[in-house]
Amino acid sequence: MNLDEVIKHISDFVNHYKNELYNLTQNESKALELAGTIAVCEHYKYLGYSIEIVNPDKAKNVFCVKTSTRGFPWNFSHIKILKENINYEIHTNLSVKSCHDDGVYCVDIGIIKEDSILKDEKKWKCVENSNLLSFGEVKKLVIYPMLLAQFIGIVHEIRPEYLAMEIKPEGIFEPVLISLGNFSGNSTTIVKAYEKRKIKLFIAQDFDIRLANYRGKNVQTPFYGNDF
Amino acid sequence: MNKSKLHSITSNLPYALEERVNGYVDSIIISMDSIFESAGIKFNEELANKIILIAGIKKLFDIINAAYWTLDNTATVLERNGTSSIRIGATSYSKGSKYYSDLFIMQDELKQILIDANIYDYVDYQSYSDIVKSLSVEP
Repeated sequence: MNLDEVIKHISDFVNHYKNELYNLTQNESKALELAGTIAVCEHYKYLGYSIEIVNPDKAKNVFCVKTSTRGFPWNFSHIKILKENINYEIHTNLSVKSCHDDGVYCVDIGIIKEDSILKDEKKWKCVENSNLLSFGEVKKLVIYPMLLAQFIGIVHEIRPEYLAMEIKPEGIFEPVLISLGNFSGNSTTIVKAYEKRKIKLFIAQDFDIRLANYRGKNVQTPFYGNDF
Repeated sequence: MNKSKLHSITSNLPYALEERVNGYVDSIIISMDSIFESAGIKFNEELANKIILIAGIKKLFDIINAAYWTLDNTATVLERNGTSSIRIGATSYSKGSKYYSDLFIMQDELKQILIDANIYDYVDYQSYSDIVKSLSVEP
């Protein structure tokens, strides 16, 4: 391996594709939410489910991704996950009612019971809390302690049972924080302690590397365990 | 240990990518002692600097590769279900879109650079202790 040659070739590559690399950074957040959603689907396939894509009536062949709080969920695509008689739906940027009050939160990826969205523009506000099984948050950030604390706060507001749980419900993926960044500071110390504290959350750091490992068939799911 | 060789690559990256590559490399530097320990090899600065460079290249490749794979796999999954088009807002992310083509060309070209330089296997490894073991016997 001639390191100087490698460095020169990669530096030339970076200079040549400067604009394209910049576009990648601009589009990555939206694509990341899409990737997180598809990765969650792949994880459910790993758990034994089959999947079915459902596109909006107005664009039957187009997968329309909801990337903000605005808009009605039925105007965007969602994914059904099916196993025997258990059917769930995965939606992006889904408004969900708090577990404690009438507050409404928007989760990046929401896993809900089938048909729990009422298609009524006048009445639609959010999914009832009891219909939300689990959810995912997607961040283009390093995993620093306060990001973990913020995620715990979201879980506390909408699915608090995962913060004090002996055994995870079978066939349901626990709330997941998907991040492109690595653990920083003492984040690993905090996450390592979750098990002892009976906190059932999945922290998926370095998500691009997870996808690459899954793509390369080194692992069975993008959400393989953390080896601290 | 130092990142000086890696700097000549990262200094020309868009800031957001430079930060991510450096952040990842910093996390590998923190773990360097345990990487050598689990490889069963005595720490050696020259080898550690090679690991730093490989980690940086790995992160850059994985960022591009994952961005491409994200769209490609998403499009493939959707195609199997009768959907050939992906749209986020007004932008198309479908196979054949400019964004998709740019990612394909970049990941393909960078992969070829790494293969030609005999470095691709290291970038593709999941375990740094395996990389240390392999590099330690390289002439």
